[in-house]
Amino acid sequence: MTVAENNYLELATQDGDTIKVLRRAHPRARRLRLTVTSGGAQVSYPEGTHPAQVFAFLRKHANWLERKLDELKLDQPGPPPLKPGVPTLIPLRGETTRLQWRDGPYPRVELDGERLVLSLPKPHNKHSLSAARSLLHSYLQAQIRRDVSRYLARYTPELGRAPNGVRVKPLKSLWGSLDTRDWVTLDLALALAPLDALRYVVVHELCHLRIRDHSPRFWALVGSLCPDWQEQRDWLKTSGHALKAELSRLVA
Amino acid sequence: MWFRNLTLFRFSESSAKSLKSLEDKLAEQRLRACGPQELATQGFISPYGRTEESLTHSIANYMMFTAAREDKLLPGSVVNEELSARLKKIAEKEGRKVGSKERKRLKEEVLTDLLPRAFTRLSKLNVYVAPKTGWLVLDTASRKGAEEAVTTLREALGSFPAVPMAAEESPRNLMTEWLIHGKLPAGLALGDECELRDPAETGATVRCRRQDLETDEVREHLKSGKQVFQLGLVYDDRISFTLGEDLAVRKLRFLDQVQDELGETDRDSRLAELDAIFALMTLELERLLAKFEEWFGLPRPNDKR
Repeated sequence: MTVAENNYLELATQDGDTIKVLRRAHPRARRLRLTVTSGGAQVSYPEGTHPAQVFAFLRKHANWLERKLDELKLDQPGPPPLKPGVPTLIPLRGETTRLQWRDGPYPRVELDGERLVLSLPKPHNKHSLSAARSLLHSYLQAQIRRDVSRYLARYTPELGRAPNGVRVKPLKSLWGSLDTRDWVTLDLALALAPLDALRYVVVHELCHLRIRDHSPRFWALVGSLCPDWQEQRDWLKTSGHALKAELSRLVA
Repeated sequence: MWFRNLTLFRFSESSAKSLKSLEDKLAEQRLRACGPQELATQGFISPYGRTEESLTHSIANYMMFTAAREDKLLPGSVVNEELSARLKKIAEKEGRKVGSKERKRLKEEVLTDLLPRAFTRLSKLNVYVAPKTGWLVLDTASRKGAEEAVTTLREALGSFPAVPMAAEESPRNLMTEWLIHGKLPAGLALGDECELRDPAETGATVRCRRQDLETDEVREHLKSGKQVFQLGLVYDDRISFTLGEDLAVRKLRFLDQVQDELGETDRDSRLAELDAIFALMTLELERLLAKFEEWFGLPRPNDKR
């Protein structure tokens, strides 16, 4: 194990692979902590911890880390970064969709049959990539808003409560939240997930308008509106992190 | 009394039933004057004026009411100045520093002394409901103001699940298309102002006023990937407004054609004038909102599963 690029530790696994772990000294940390998110593995430790102690901790939990990365499907090298002009595959509403590029007078994005077509003015310059990312961002947002608008119309009369508004933006670890002002926030990555998963998250947050905790009573309410919630929740737990990683490739 | 801004909410048919006893329910939440130690009060007042009795104004399919709040004007700087004066006095008299607990208590004291002497300000917000079509229309473009008014209404009615406008078609994408191609839905024409923004986090912003929108300089911005966040529009030569991507309507103006129809009402009677304006305005807005529903896809909450 060697320190690479200053902030990364490289952990050798039993089958000869290496796992990159981001290391972070945290001023408020009390103990060593190893986490896996869509961004990869990260170890945080109290300031002043001896590097050898961090290494030993990682080595002790190498098997766990390997298993977790495997479970979350994060151990394969991801697709290459987004580049204007280079077609790629992206997940969209749970389906693998081809992303293609076209020349056009105005930046534009449209679904053409099974393909998502991004038009950008020629020649491509340093602004093209950010224009493409912005376009994808607003396209995905529009997709979520369309469905959420239907779900709100359907579920709010049943619940007898309505949120004050809906925000859609990339979230780091949550899929959705409900704040004290009754605003629902949803993760943009849900636009890449199957519709049923999005429906579950919306129902979950709307149910919080009635019951603001995760008690059995709450889950019963979710179950009455969305009978397959357990299945969707499991799906998000296992496959969701890959989607979050994919989203940051597309719009970050 | 003409609405100058619009924030829209929508409710289902079953929720519309709870509006039948609106007048009585609102009466329970009539606006009280701020007590000597109160910072603010919320409630409802008569659309005809604070001293009038009736809390709603109804015609055919519409009911208007006025949500109001009274706020004490007590700027933080005034409180802090008085507080530091008292702290100084203690320091000089007793020659000691004041701890945080005592400081907190002193601040409370200052508030108790100053609050009864503070000015109160009344702010009003006209709202109308259309039980038949399920629209709740507020005369504000401020999200926060609208939320407060709807919350007060919910408290008065017990439960009132009105949904803020969430469009099926993204207004931002649609308005960008309109501006790029100049092809607008029938009856709609471009106005003379817009706000273009790069949708990225630290997006560049361009605002145009009194500007012909169908020119190359505007198109150049669209080519670089900016999108329309606000667009000036004119509907049927009767209503002009600026539409935001959140579907908030600003700078709403009813043009000469509409104003002419109002004609010479009996200007002596405030009530008659209010009645005439409200009737005309709701009629015009009903047509506009139906168009919004068609262009952007704004489903009414549905009671059936």
